[in-house]
Amino acid sequence: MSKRYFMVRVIFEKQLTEQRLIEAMATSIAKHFGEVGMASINLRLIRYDPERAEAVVACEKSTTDQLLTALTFVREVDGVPISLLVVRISGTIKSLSKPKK
Amino acid sequence: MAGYRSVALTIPTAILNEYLKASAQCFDQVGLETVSRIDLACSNRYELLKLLRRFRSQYDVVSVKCTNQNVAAIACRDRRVDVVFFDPNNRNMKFTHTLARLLNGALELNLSFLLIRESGDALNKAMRQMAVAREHRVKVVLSSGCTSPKMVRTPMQTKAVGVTLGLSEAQSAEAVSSVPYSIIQSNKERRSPLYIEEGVRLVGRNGLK
Repeated sequence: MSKRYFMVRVIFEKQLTEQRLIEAMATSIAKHFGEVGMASINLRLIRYDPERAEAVVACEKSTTDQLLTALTFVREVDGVPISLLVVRISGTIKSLSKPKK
Repeated sequence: MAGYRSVALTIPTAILNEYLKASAQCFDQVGLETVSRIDLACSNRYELLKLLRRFRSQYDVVSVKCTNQNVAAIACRDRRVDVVFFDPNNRNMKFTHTLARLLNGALELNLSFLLIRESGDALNKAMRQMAVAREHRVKVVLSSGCTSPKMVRTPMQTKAVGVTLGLSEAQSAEAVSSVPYSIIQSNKERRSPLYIEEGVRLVGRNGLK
């Protein structure tokens, strides 16, 4: 199964741990698409850099729009507003960090 | 950063000019074009018509929040209205097939209504709106409707929400890019001093270029 990799910019006032970030994403997926959606999206956190507030997550190619929607609806973590901005989507991790042509 | 070209600001009439100048400078620095927008929320048709007469020429984009059936019917029919929107959290108001047939402008869906959901069926109502829009080939605008920077999402995400709500890939992409852009461009042209009427434009006068 081919994958899609997302470069996500995390806008959050506090420092967010990797665990809390993946929990927030998974909760939104489960809330909007259910357990079956969760299984088909197959969310994986590839890397997270709290200093640069950037994360790379992966999902199945066919569920790209579902993951984008779920990330859109992540609004707060522990009562603090958060914004997850998907700045780039790619088929390989390598090309995510390449500058745009 | 988020990937937008223009920003439409809802500005109160009293501070329109000063606010627009200040914000235009601010947004210019990050390469964004600023557009003025007014959201009209009226309780009856007379009020709506009065406000349209008064404010149409001052703003680039005129949108109407449909709070009841009478206002919705007038707003959909009136050519001065660019976009109409329905609050999915309002149980008494929905985008019907009759309104879709009447609609001259575009139907707007504010992402902010879905982000701050008051009722559980807001998503369902938004999906129904999109289904009606799709059936009648109504132009759709997907906008952020945000009141704080934390509510801004990228165009890619906004488009994905459109697809999830039932729009096709192409329709959803148009709703984020070409439809709002064409509304802004046509209104800018209409507000220019060279505009006479639809299809007629002043290209020069005796002694003037």
